[in-house]
Amino acid sequence: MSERIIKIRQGQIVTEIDVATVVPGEGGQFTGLIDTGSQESGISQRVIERLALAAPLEPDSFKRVSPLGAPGVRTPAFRLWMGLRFDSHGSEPGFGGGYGLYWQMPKQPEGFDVLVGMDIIERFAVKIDGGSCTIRRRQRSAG
Amino acid sequence: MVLQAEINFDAYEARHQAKLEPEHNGKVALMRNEEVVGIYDDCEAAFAAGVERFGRGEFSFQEIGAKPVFVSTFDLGETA
Repeated sequence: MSERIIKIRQGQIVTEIDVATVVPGEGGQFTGLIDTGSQESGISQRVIERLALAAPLEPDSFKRVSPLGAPGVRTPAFRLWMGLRFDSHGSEPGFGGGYGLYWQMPKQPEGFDVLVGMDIIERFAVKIDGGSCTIRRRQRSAG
Repeated sequence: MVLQAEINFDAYEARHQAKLEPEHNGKVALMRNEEVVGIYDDCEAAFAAGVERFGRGEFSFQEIGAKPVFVSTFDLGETA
């Protein structure tokens, strides 16, 4: 079964995540912090700089982003593909993810480049148990 | 260089948001040069239309009725 097992270190779940401008898997791989407290995923300036090597990358929209209990911040948002890499099985693709509109973090965080929020997390079956986190593809519904 | 996304966002909040939300809540506004040039069902449809009509970077889109995105507490810098 395609799954990814991540050891929880210092209370954080950190994993590699792929981000691309057009074709899934043909962008870059970045360090992502799994964050169930964030509604939507955010990207750092470093992600934008790396993805803009082939062509300029300008924001597609703006969003207001609000840390809990604080006023909203106006921040650029980019339409990108984001997903996790798994082993391929038969016709099943080697990636799980999709396109979305991801907000830019105003400051470069230390230790990660993607804040992986619930918009991405809910695409997978995620289990936290005994100091580790297991991420699986969700079963495809019939029909 | 002035970004389409930036000038369009300011125009959206100042001139378009109040008018669009009652009728088009949940849809997506395709914008260029501060004007709304189309309403679409979702971001993917708006993005595809924008790329076809203007080319990437020459338009932006806004989610109509979108609430602020709540994120876990960390320093997001200055508010604006």
